[in-house]
Parts: sequence; structure tokens; C-alpha cells
Amino acid sequence: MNTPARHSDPGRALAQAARADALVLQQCRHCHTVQYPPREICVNCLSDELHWKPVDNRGTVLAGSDLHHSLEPDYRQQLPWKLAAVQLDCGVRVLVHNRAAGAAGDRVRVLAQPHRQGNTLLVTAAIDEQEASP
Amino acid sequence: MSQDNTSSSHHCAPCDPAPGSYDGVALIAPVTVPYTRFSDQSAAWFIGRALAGLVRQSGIQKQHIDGLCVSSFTLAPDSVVSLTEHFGLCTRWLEQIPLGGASGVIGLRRAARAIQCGDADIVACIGGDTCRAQSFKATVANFSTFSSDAVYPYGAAGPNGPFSLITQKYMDTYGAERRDFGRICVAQRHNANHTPGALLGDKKLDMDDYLQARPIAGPLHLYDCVMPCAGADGFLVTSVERARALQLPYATVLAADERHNAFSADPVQLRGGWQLFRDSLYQRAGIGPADIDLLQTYDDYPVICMLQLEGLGFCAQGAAAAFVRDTALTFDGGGLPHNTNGGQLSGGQAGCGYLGVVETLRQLNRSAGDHQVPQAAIGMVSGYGMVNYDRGLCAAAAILARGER
Repeated sequence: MNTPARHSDPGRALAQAARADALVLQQCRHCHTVQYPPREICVNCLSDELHWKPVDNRGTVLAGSDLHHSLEPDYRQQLPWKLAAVQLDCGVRVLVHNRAAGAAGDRVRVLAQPHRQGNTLLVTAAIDEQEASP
Repeated sequence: MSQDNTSSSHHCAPCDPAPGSYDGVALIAPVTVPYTRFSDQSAAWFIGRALAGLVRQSGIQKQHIDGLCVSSFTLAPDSVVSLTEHFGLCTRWLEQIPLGGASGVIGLRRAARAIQCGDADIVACIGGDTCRAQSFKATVANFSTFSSDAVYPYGAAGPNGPFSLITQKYMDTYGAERRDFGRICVAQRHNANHTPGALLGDKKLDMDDYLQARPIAGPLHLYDCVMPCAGADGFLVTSVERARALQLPYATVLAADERHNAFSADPVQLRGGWQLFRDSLYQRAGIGPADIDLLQTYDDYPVICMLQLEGLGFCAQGAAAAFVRDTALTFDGGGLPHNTNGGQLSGGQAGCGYLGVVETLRQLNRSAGDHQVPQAAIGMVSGYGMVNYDRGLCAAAAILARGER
């Protein structure tokens, strides 16, 4: 069985807005709050005027772990799978596929990359030393 | 450690007003429909058998139960009102609480208010689930919108994913070691070894077994992860007057409270809503943590027990590892009896946090049998639930007391 892509409308919109050269996340037109996971209402001012904007995609790894167990056969073949939480400088926390193997405290970039079955995954990428500081 | 950042634009509102007292409310007739790893029966079957148990244990006839409160992850497409028709109940009050492992404590709160306000005379509160081969995967894959979009595609690890990150961050921040989590798990297995019906109660677990278990996710190994199963727990909520008239053992509610989506700006969840209400909770109960004879925390993972020990004031923030090194957690260890029937880690996970409520009632009624805490008079039960994205959003707790005969 394949990994299902049961996405909400905002979740699909994130995949459609994805660009290779930038991290595009949801932003409120009204108060400019960046938010993640994508939603239909602004978490700060409750406006529904949301759009998709490139954001500062630098961040700091909060914690990482290697998954040794998965509910999906697709992923079972890829174990151990590197999961991490990253605090982005633009203010949101993201769970990511930690492809850059960043350790807690490491500076990384986060990008959106196409994955199987229509999923778009946020992934870590290495960051140049001179661009690492916020 | 900048976990005190509350400068976010969407932090919790000031929480000064405290809930009024729960005077006059009695909790009676704790029942359990035995847990089983898998079942071909439906969630309705488990909830219905719990209801039958409540009728049998209390001697109250079915037609006198005029309120029903249920929680279940596996009841859909049915709901609490479907169950009235299924079980032939005519009620004047219904509640369904979808708050995961906080549902037991919160069901207790809702039902208590219904009794106090006269909206119902006798409320049956029941948490029950079935478990089939693919039902856990279905629950996890469709757990919430945020989870489907932003968690499940990341390795499809279920709750093990977010909790592996929480556990790792807790270890990095406070210096806790695997062995510290192991102390919680090993003590609970000892308790389960004295609890008929605990799913893993016939198996011993020592620290070496714990440390040598196979890895699941980051610092989490097999015995850190709760086992989903089928089963149900329930109790009745009514007035003290009625409980006494029926000559049934009962417990009263000294205080209870809840908070949701607290500390949302914390980068990783190292605390929950408990700390926003615990001082007021103890004040209303007229006691402190040292007066608690037994504590049931929601134990989907041992790190969450630690967050509750800290959040509920048994030790300082970040000090739970030291606390469990120094404090016996077994029912018979003379320390702080904790998850006295083995909890979910040794008993199985079904029924949305009702396990801890029902175990507290048994202990206060002195009907816990082989794992009875001697002289148990005041018990605390804590709930935690709903990992909507990267943390559990619901926190709740109640302090219960043995009712005077």
C-alpha cells in the first residue's frame, strides 16, 4: 500500500505554491503573520485573507530523531527515517524530513520538495556559514 | 531554556477566575470492560457492556440513568445519540467529549455540573474503544487536519514521531536519561503485576529489559510506547445524597480544572496547561501535593508523566528525573503511588483517559484488591490529550476524596 496523501485544501495549496528556490508559506495579508501548518484562518487576527509568500527559510533545529518504525510500507523500506523539528526565523515551527542530518542547535535551511503520491515534504538543507546568522 | 516566552500574539488569556466548587457531587460505581489487544466487537459493544456494568454495580435501573457522556476514537460514524437508541436509553442530557486522554477528567467535570444544576440526576460517563488490525493506522492517518497535512507524511510514525522529539528535547534540556523514563515504566509494570486484567500484567519488566528493548523512534524504545487496545471504563456521577441513600461507596470532587493550547509559543512542549491552574486547584481543594495519597497521570509516553509531575507541583520544572530517582512510584513502595494499576503503559490504551479516573475511584473506595494503596483517602487524576500537530493540546486534572459513609 502506498503512502496516502490525505491533504486539506490549504495543505494542497502549500504543495501548489512550492518553489525550488524558496520556501513559500502562508501569510496573512492583514497582519502579516506567517503560519504553519497551513489553515483557513489567521492564527493571530482571525482574518481569512491569506496568501502564499516566500519567507526567510533559515532556522534552528530544535530536536531530531531517527524513526525505526512506520505504519506505512513505503516508509518501512526507508528506515531509519530522519525526523526533526525546526524553529524557523520567520516565526513558525515545522516538522521536517531532516535530509541534512542537522543536530539540535544546528542552523539549517528548510525547503519544500515534491515527494511520492503528491506529497510535498519540507526538508532540511545545509546552510552556508556566512548566511547562517539571523 | 527560553520556555518562559509568552510574548506571542496568541498566548493564553489571563486565567484568574477559578471554577466554583463541586460540592454535593458523588462519583460511584467504577467499572472496566476487560481490555484486549484486538477485538472483533465494535466500540458500541464495549461502551454498552460498560453501561451494563454500571447498572449491575450500582443497582440503579437503566431507565433512571438520564445523562450519558461518552468518549471514543472508534465510535464513528455513530455518536452519543446513536447510543441512546442502541441501548434503549431516554436521556435529558448528552455529552460527547473528543479530547483524547483528557476526556475522562473532563467528562467528570461536565457531568458534575449537570448534576449540580439539575440538568440530570444520574450521568453515566464512559470511555471505550475497539481495536482492529488496521483501526489504529486509520485513527492516526486521519487524526486531525494539521496532522494529515504536516505530521503523517513525515514518516507515518503516528504519535511516536512528535513524542520522540519531545522526549529528546526534554533529555537535552534537563539532563534526563533513558534510565529515568525506565523507572516510571518498571514501577508501572510492578503495579500491573498485581492488577488482574492489565494486558501486560503477566509479564515482568526490569530495568535491563527496558534498556535493551528495540528502538522505535529516537530515544523511544518499545516499553516507552503505549499499546493501543480495545476496552472500556466507566463510572456514574450523581449527588452525594443519592449515593448515600443507595449506600454505595463514593468519591467527591475537591477541585478540577482544564486548559487547552497553553504555552503555544514554546518551541517544543516541555510543559502543559497544568501549571496555569495548579496553584488554584490545590487552594480550592485545601491541600497541597504532599497530601495526595496516589496519582494517576496520563501515560502515553513516560516523558508526559514527567511533565505532569512537574506541572502539578510534585517537583520543580525540569526536576522530574531526579524526583523519580528518589521516589518510589509503586503502589506499595511508600513513595508516591503512581499509575497504580499499571497505567496504560502496562495495561493498554483504550477509552480516552478514563482508566485513571476509574482506578482513582477504586483506590478511594478501597476496592483495588492486590494493588490497594493502604488508607487511600485523596487521589489526583490527570489527563492529557490530542496531538493535533506537534504537541498535546489538552491538560486537565481533578483531586478526588473518599466520601464519608
